[in-house]
Amino acid sequence: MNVDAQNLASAISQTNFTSFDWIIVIAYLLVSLAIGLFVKQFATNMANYIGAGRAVGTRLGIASMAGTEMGLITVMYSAEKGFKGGFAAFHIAVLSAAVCLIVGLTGFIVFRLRAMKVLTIPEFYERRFGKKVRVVGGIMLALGGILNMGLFLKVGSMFIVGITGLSGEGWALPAVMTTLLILVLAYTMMGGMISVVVTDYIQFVVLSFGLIIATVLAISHLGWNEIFTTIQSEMGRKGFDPLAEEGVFGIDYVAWMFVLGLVNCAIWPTAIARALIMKSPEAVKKQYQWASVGFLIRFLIPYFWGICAFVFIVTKAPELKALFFENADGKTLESPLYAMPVFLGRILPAGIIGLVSAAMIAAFMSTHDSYLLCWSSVITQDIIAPLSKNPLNAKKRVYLTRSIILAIGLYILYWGLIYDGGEDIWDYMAVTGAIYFTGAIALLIGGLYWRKASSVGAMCALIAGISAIFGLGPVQAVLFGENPTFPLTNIAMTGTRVGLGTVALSFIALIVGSLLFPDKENPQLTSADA
Amino acid sequence: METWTLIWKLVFIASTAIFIAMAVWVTWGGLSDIKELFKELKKSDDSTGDS
Repeated sequence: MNVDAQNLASAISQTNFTSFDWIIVIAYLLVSLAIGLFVKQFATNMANYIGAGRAVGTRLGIASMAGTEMGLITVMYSAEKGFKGGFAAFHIAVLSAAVCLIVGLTGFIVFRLRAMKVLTIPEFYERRFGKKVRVVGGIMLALGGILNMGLFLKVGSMFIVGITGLSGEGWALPAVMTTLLILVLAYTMMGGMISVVVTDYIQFVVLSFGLIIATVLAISHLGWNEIFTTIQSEMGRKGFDPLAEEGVFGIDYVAWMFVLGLVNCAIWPTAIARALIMKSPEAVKKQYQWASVGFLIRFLIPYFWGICAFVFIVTKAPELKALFFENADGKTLESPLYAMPVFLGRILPAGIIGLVSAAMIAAFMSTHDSYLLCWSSVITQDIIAPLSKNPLNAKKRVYLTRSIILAIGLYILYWGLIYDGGEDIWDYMAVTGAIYFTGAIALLIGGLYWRKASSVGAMCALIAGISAIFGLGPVQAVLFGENPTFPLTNIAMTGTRVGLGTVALSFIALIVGSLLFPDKENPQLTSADA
Repeated sequence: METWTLIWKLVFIASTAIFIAMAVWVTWGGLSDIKELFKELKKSDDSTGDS
């Protein structure tokens, strides 16, 4: 189908978003800001500022974890996965929830970490492996984490401009990015973890009911059976079976998703931060058991929205095929990321669309605030404070953390303004995250459960984790050329396989390094040892 | 393919139902958790956060 640029802009800008919806969105943003101002009075010391006084109850902890882990970027790339992969993508949600439930039932990693009363993961590294590992681990955590969130601002803002019909306006994206960032920076800097937790609660409420309402309306608009029959006719078996050979997933992808499921709930610092602020180790287990539902839904519903967007285009808006479906060259005119917000913008009625937009902004803000606080507190507590010659008092640390939050905010705004990619978001996020987590898996599991794990082994594992960077497409293209294979084999060097290989390499590095260079002193494995 | 279709239908319906129940419980109970949190935070000290 040939359509000119004007028709394309017109097709993408059709939405039911009205002035009333803007009022709903703005009111929601002002409430979040007001909460930040109110709780500033409690942020008087570092334990309160980055750990909410370790006094968070189970239900508030669940809301905070669910709000943090369901970011708008997750919603966007998950919807894209559902759009491209159909119901087969659901396996990722199921694996993610199953792993979180197992962690909740057994307390794997999180129970012992909370029992040690640490505030950050690198603080655990110091207690277990010494100050050098804390500083190096802190640098890698902050580096991987800050790079990882580099795309959050832009991709999240793409949803807002997509659903409000502003996609065709050049000024809209930078304006949305700047406004939202200023709001998040304001309340996070003022109230730290206390504002984060309390706003996470509000965001959870708005988000939950927004998700449910939008899903019900999507089903009623398209028809429950129609959704399944359209995927059957358009995608066939690969739209349902994650192990189908012709599909976009496959067995190694499923294995990698299992590892990522563990990482997301028990290794990733923002999730761990939620465990460390709970009242007790027992409350952490309860929090994780319930949070498994959140981990399920954070993927499942966005996948479903992506599937609905696909069905909508096939059955009700074929003019959008030229935008979002691949042409003969295998390329699309517009990023498939826009398909879901454009779909919602067309089917949701005025009033509801404002509520759903507020819900998505809630997802955006609850992730940004937690990430900003997490990386800044690691830089203060685990890099600057241990290296500082003079001890830093509580006031200085809070001031320092606030300054770093501002600096990271400016960095992600700069990154969002200059970044001009789109199709490789998941690839980028997985690899930047893997720089940290491939080494951290070995350190956390080895450090908590293997008494012989030594500081040399820990350092080797951290360094081995850097090899995850070879999974990034542009790095492979520079070093190995197009379509690279593993040395001495014909096995394709996919990002998934490099990720799995790096995890294995980090464990081998930890084991070999620890056996060859054992520590002289006995380590602390539990709080009882402390 | 019919089996997969049935599995995903059941997963979707069951998950959404559990999520709705959890959302109501957390929304209701979260408020009292916030009140308790504020009470605890009033008893603050000058901690640097390091254990």
